[in-house]
Amino acid sequence: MAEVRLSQIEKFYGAVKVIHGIDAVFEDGEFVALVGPSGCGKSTLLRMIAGLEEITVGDIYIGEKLVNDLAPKARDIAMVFQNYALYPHMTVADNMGFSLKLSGEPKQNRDRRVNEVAEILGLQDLLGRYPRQLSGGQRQRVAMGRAIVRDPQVFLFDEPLSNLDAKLRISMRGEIKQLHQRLKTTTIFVTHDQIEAMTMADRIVVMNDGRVEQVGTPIELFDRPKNLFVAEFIGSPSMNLLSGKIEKSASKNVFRTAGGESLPVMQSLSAGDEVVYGVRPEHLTLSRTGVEAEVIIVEPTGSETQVVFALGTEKIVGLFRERVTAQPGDLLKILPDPDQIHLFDRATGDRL
Amino acid sequence: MTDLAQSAVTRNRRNSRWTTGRIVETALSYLAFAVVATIVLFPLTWVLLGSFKNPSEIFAYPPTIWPRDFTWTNYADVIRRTDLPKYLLNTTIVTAFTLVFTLAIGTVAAYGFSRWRFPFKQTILVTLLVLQLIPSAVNIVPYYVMMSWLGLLNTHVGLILIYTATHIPFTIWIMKGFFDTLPESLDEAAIIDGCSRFRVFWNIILPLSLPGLSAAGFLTFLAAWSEFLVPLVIANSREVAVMSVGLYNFFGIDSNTAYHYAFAASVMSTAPIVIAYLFAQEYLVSGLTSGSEK
Repeated sequence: MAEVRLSQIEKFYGAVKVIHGIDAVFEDGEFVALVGPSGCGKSTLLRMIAGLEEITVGDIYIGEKLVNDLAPKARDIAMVFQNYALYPHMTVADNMGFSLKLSGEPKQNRDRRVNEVAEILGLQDLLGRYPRQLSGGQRQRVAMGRAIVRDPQVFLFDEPLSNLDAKLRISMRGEIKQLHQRLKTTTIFVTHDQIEAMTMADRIVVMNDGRVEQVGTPIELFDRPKNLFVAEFIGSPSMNLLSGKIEKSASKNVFRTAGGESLPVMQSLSAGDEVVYGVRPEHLTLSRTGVEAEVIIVEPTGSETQVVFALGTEKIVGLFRERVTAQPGDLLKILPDPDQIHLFDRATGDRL
Repeated sequence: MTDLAQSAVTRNRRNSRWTTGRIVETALSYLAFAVVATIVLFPLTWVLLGSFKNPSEIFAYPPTIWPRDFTWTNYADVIRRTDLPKYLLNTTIVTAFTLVFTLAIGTVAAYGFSRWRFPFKQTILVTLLVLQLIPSAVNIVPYYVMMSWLGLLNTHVGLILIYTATHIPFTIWIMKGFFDTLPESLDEAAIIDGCSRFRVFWNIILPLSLPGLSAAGFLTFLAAWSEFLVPLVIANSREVAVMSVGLYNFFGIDSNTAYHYAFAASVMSTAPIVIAYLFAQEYLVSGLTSGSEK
């Protein structure tokens, strides 16, 4: 196990800069998720850590060792790919033991290690099968087994759950997290799915356009997003973001939307400040003291109800634990929880 | 009759009209297949059956299809009295070396074209394809001059060099098409597991490329085994002549041809191709069509 340190990492493809000076430290034994939209550079960064992409500028350390010029096999890492990348002509046992075979491990030790890992992952009965004879979930487990067998210092996961159906993805999420709790190996997990990142990671690195937007625990990112990008990216459904300005009303600050509706604000800001007002759908309540909004869509899921409202000219989504029986066209009064309001500078997008 | 019954009758009539049309269509298709098959198979069958006939029976009137007196004498005589075994051996040597060199060089080059990005890659690939379009008759004089200059006229090496050089381009194209279908993450997983680039190619990519290798190997084998013009000009001495040139010698001027021997020799020269096809056919179609669909 080892810490992974990235120092001023940059990556160019020709003249195009895709990674812009990233600094990050992933602690020993930590589970870190790199999350961001497609094309934000998270997979490129992971591949640079793995040694599959050259680093144009900067240094990567695994433990105390500078690995910039080391071949992937010398970095003591293991990687699980999005499409598993199992060798189709090898059995599960051969797939899992291939790296040990290459390193000259005696067959007896190899078999013992493969069996140990197979037991951890529940693959004992599948060792003689070929990848084509396995289900998606089993293939995923074999891919993890191939990584675990090497007992590496760092696990790298490149969107390993993307090819699974929704139900299997949830169960594999739990299995990977459980496995990390058991092995305590430093893990870097790339995903574009913020729910995956939120549920699995100790810390999340939110990336956008080759830059790190924010690093923090899932709760930190959810409760105190550093800017508009993180606010919108983290959380499902996304945070409601309304443009408007701060006004003084009866000796207290209120937020006035472009359509003229006023919403409560706790922070002390100067009147006239142009801001973006953020409130998560789950922090809206139905209240007699709220502002009037027209119901557009009601989506009951059983445990909760998602309602899309028209608030003046803007759309706003509410997520309610209670059953909402309203019909499209009805008028309901909604009230944001004043303690859960996020305000952002309209010009810079930074949190105020 | 109720509306329901009426509509059922109408539907049945439609179905029966559709079925008749389908039958006629199928029958015509099979008739066309039969005609084409006859055109292709008739001369081959005539040669095969003729190789088991006595010389007098080959030109007997009325002609016979099936040999009246089935005999192996033609084959025994061809093997004992002619240079055919030597031609067969020469062809086997030339074809085997061509096959090994072409596949060895072609697959490695194809792997490079498939996995690396480098300047002028597409231009080189298209050039290889264009070169392939030049018929060997056009190249025959340069081949002769080059082999003469290298002192390789009337040698197996000369033939192997020319065959290898001419067959590498399509081997590259076939194998590149195949390698392109194998995900690069396989290479990367193997590199992380500790493979060198060559070992990735040898241990992971090549075993998965059997269909492509079979297709490229069979086409190279077919071309090298049956090439006529190049060996006729470059290597036509008795000692190094290959099957196609030797077979040509069986056909004399005017009516001076021993057809019974020519037929037996033709069968013997064709048999390896048929056997090679039987071995390769399992992978051949998938190899030739790889990359044609996602």
